[in-house]
Amino acid sequence: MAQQAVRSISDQTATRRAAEPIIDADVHSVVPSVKDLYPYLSEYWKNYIDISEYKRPPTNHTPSGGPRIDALPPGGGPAGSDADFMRAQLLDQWNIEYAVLNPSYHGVAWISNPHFASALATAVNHWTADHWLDRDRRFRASIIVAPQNPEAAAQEIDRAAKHHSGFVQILIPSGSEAPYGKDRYRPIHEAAARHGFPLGIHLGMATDTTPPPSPVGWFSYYLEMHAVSGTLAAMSHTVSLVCEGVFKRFPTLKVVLIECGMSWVPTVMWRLDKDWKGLRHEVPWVDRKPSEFIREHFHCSTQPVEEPDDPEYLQQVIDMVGNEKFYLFATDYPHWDFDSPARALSPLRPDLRRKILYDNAKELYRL
Amino acid sequence: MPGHVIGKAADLLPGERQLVTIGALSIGVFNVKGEYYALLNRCAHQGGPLCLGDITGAGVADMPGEVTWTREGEILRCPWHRWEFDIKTGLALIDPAKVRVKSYEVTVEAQMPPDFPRVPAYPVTVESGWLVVHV
Repeated sequence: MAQQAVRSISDQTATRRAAEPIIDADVHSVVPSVKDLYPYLSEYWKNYIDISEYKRPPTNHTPSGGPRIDALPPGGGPAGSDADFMRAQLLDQWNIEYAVLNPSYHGVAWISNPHFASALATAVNHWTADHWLDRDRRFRASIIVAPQNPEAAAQEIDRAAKHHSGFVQILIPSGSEAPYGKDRYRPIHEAAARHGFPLGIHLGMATDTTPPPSPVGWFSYYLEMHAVSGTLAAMSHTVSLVCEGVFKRFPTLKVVLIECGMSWVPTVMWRLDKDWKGLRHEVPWVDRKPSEFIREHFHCSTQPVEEPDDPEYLQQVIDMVGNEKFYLFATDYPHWDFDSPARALSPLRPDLRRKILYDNAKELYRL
Repeated sequence: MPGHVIGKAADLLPGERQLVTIGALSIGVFNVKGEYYALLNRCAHQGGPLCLGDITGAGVADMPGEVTWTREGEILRCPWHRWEFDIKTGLALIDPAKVRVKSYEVTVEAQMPPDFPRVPAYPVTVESGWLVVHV
């Protein structure tokens, strides 16, 4: 009953529909239960799941913030699991022309059995194509892969790309066994570049098989983890991808850092450039300023947008990055830290806001 | 432009360097494979004693891991932050279009020019990792 009341208040007070269309670069479609993946799993894996009582991929080591309370579907199931409810509450309400779905299974990266992880990734991608991409032409989606099994991941990228034209990106989590520029991940870089799919690295930390959410160990609170883990990981993957020369091998590859923070980018550019000027001899294939590689090959999603006391600072940060195509707006629906399309970017110049809300994603994902 | 006589060409052998002070300027003079070059002894970055750095070569690479060693003896690496400069031109490797250290022409004259002032130049050698200025 309470949920019904909350929902109807939310619908009434939901702010005015955006006048201009928006592209949402991060929306979470949620697998309700592993049983929903059974149609896409072999007998072997179904039996494996049954006898092991496997429920879902590993999750955050602290309980997380949960969904928007008003995003729980009226028909039941977790927030984000009902495509029709999402279409109404998100796409219709905010005039969202395209939403890039990042399905809730990037945690396959933390499953230590690489074959199981890859089988689940393939199953989720099938499920996405059947239940989401065919449901509404506004949905696009990321291909979930298990990065701990790079060869299988490359094969899955090839398969999914052929399977459905609604796939627009690869998705792996920010919590990983190793920095993503390392050569073991080359099959994934190669497949992403070959298909013209950006490599999406999305905030996500787990307990089981990856290093802790910080370089100094495990936090006590979700607040700590949420505030810095994505950023720390994103900085690490960024310097890795640049310094390992991945963009020399694959000059067309793009990377999107999703839900990993916005404002850290300029300072990492400055530090990496300064150090590189003296340490160039160690990475001679980085044959121009590292910040140029960052500016040309990376994007960040905006959510959760940083909210400095002086809103002018946000505009200054974006100016410091030096590329108006760098940031992509995202809501992160249905999570608690959802960004409102109407309010989140209000400190910014109108022309820049338009690019971030629409043009940049349209160009990057070839929509 | 007045020149300053710093010594005999034969006293500066290939691979060697000398430091000379001309007015307020500290200048390093180098013999690179039989040709002579001079650079201001003040790094373009933060003013460090550039001309006391390693005389070395440069690794270059197009692809990760495939490094070619080039220009042995032609590169000066600042002892502070390791910025690399081409001794012959003063251009910085990290941005040759925009970053350079001042370089000066060095000529070898058959006769000692009578009108040019004579300034002392001090050889600089490296002995067991120590820089030694021979006054």
